[in-house]
Amino acid sequence: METLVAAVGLVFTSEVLLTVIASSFLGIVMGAIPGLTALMALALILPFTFYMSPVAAAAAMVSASAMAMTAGDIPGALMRVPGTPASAAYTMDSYTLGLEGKAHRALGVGIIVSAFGGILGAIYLMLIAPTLAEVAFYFSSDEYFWLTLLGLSCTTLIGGGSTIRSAIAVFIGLGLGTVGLSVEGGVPRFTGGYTELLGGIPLIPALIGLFAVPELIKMARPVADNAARIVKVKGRLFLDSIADVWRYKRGILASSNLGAVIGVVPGAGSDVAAWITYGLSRRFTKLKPETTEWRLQGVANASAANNAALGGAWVPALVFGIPGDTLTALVISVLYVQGIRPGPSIFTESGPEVFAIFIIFILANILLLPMAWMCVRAMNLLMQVPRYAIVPMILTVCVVGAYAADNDSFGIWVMVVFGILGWILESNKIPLGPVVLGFILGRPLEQYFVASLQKYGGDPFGLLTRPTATALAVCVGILWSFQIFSLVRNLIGTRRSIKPQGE
Amino acid sequence: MLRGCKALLGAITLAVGLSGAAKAADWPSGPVEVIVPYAAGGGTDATARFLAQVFQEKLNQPFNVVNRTGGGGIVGLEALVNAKADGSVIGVTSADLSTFKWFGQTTLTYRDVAMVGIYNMAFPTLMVAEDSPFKTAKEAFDAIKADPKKYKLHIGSSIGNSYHISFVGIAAAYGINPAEVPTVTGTGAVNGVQELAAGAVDFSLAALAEADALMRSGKVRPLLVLGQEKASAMPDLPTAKEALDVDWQFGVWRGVAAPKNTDPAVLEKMRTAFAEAYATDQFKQLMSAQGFDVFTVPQDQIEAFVDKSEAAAGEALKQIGVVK
Repeated sequence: METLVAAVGLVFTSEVLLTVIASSFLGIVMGAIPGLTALMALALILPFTFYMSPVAAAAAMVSASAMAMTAGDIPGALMRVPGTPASAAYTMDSYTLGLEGKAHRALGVGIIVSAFGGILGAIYLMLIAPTLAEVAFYFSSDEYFWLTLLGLSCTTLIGGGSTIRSAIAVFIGLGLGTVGLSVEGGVPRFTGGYTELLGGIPLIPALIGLFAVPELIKMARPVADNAARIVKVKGRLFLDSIADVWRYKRGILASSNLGAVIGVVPGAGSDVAAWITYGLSRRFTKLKPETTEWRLQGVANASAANNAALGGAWVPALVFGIPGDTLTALVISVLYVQGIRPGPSIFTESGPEVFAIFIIFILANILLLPMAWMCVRAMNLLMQVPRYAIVPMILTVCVVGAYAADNDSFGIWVMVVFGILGWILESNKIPLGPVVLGFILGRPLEQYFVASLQKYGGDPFGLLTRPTATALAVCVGILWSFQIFSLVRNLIGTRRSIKPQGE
Repeated sequence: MLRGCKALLGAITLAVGLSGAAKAADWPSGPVEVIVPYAAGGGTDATARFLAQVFQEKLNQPFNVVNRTGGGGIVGLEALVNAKADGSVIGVTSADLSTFKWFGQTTLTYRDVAMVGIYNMAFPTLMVAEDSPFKTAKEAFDAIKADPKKYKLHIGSSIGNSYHISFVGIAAAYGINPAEVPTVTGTGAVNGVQELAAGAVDFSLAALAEADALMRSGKVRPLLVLGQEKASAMPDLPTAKEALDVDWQFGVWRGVAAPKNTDPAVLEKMRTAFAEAYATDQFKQLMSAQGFDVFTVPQDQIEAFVDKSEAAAGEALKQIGVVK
C-alpha cells in the first residue's frame, strides 16, 4: 500500500505528465504514418530519456508505444495501408467496413478495445508478473517451434472461405520468408546478389505493397463508381461504437487475456498476438462471414490483443531482463541507464518505480481515447482532398512509408514488386492474410527447428522430448486433424461451391 | 496535427538527405548523419546514440542517428562507404568489419573507410546454468576436451558470429577441435542464456550485461571471460590467460568511422572531437550504466589493431571450416 502511494506520488508530477503527453503525441503521429513503427518512436525518444527521471523515461516508452500501436490501425481503415505489421491482421476488414461507410465504427471499436486491452495487459503485469515470467523457463527452441507452428496453423482459419487457397497463400508466404541469409550461418538464399535482401525481404515495404498497391490500382482504373472506393469517416467515432464493443465483450475479454499471455512469451510480440487471436476469432465465430458484425468482431478481437501484448511483453523484461519483443529490448537498455535493474528482486529494489510504470500504462491507455480521436479527425481531413488528388496522395504516403522503414530506396522497389504480387494474388482470390503470416513466421519457425535439430544431432523426434513441447505438439496435432477432417468431409460431402473472398 | 505530420516528415527527409557540405575549417558546419548498421534497440545502436548525444552537446550541431539495417550490417557499411566524404556523414562500426571479408558476403573491409576511433571492446563470457556440474572454467574446458561431442554450446546468433570466434580461438588454443563441439544457433546472446536457464543447452556465450538479470536471479553463472581483459562489473572472473593459460583473444570492438576520402583536416577534427567526447564523464557513465566497458586505442595504432582483429577472426573461422 505504501508502495502504491509512493508510486502515485512519482507519477503525478508535472515532469512525468508532460512527458506522457509529449511522447503520446509523437507515438500517435509516428504510428499513423505507414512505415514508421512504435520501435522507431522509442528510438527517437531514447536520447531524451537520459535527462529524465527513471519514471518519466519509462512513461515516455510506455505512452509512445501504446499510441503508435493503435494509430497504426487508422491508415489501414482509411487507405488500406497497414500502419504496423500488427494491424495488417485486420486491415482488410476495417477497410472493407470503411468502404461500406462504417469507418467510424471500425475505428471506434478498434480504439476503445485497444485502450481496454492495454489496461488489462497492465493489470496482468501488475498482479501476476513474477509468476507469469517463469513461463520463460519452460520455453526452449523446441517449445517455440511448436508454438510458432500452432500460430502458423491458424492461417487456414483466417483466410475465410477455402482451405486450399489459404494453404497456397501460406506456402507463398513461407517461400518469401526463405529469402536472405540462412538462419544458422551465412549462406545467402534467393537474394539475387542484392545486399539489401541478405537480412530477408524488408517486412514493412512488403506489407505496404501487398495491401495498399492493389487497392490503388483499383482506385486508378476509370470505373464509374470510383468515388465509392474512397473512405471517409462520418458519424460519431465513440458513441456509435459503444454498442458494438458491448456486443463483443466476451471475445474482447478472451482476446485481451490471450494477447497478454502471448506478449509474455519471449520473442512473440504484438504482431503474433494480433494474428493468432484474429485466426481464433474467425474459427469460433457464430456470425455469418463477410457481414458487418463479423468484420467488426475480427477488428475488435485482434485490436484488443495487440495492445494487451504490449503490457505482457514487459513481464519477462522486468523480471528476467528477457525482452518479450523488440520494443522491450530497447526498454531494458533504458531501464539500465536509469539504474533500474531488471530481475526478480525488481519489485523490492525499485517497488515504487515499477508500480509507477503500471499506473502510467493505465493512464496512457485512457489518454489513448482523445489522442486517437484527434488523429482520426486529422487523417480524415486528408481524405477530403479532391478525388483526382487522393490516389497520388495515398501513393505518396506509401512511397514515403516504404522508404522510411529502413531509410533505403530499395524499400520502394520492394513495395512495387509486392504490389504487383498482391494484385495477382487478389485477382486469383488468394487471401493476403495467410501470405503475411507465413512470411512473418517462416523465418522464426526455421530458426527454432534448426536450433532443435542442432541440439538433438539431427533427430527430429528430439522435438518431442520435453514435456511442454510435447503438450504443444499435441495441440498442433489436434488442430491439424480437425482441419483435415473437415476438408475431407467437405470434399466427399455436398461439394459446396468455393466462396469468393474479399469484396 | 497535420502540421505535426508534415514537420515530422520534413525532419525525416532532412535527417536522411542531408547534404550540407562541411568545410574543413569548421567541422561540423551542419547536421551530421550517424549511420548505425544495426536495428534500433541493440547494443551497438545504444552506444551510438550515447555517442551522438555527447557529440551534439560538445559540437552544437545535431547528430542524427539513422539506422541503415539489413544484411547483418553490410547495408549500413555500404551506405557509409558510398556516402559523401564531406564530413556530413559518419558511421558506427564494429568487429563485424573484421569478419565480413571471411564470409565472402562483401569485399569491404576497414581499408575502405577511415577509422575515427575505437570506444568499446567487449568479450563474451562462457555461461553455465546454476546447477551445472562445472564450477571452474578449467573443469569445463577439460570436460569438453575429453569428449568434445558431448556438450551443447549455444553461440547466440549464427555460425561464426563474433562471440563464436572468441570461443573457437580459445578452445583451439586449448587443444579442443572446435568444429566437433555441437553448436546451437539462435536469435542472439539473450536467447542463448534463456535456453541455458531452460535446461536445453550446456553452455552459452554472452556478455555479462546480457545475462545480468538471469545471473542475479540465480539461474545462470559465468565461468570465465573469453578474452584477456577483466570485466569491470565482475573483477573476480578469470580471463582466458588466468583460467586456461591461453593467450589468444578476439574482442567485439565498436568504433566510429568516416568515408574513406574524407578531407584529412576534417578527419583530424573528428578524431579530436571523438577523443574529447570519449573522455567525458557523461559518456563513461552512460556506457557503464548499460554494462559497456569503455576501451580505446591510440590513433596511430587503430589500423594495426583492426588488422590484428581481422587476422584473428580469419584464423578462428578456419578452425570451424567457414574459411577454407
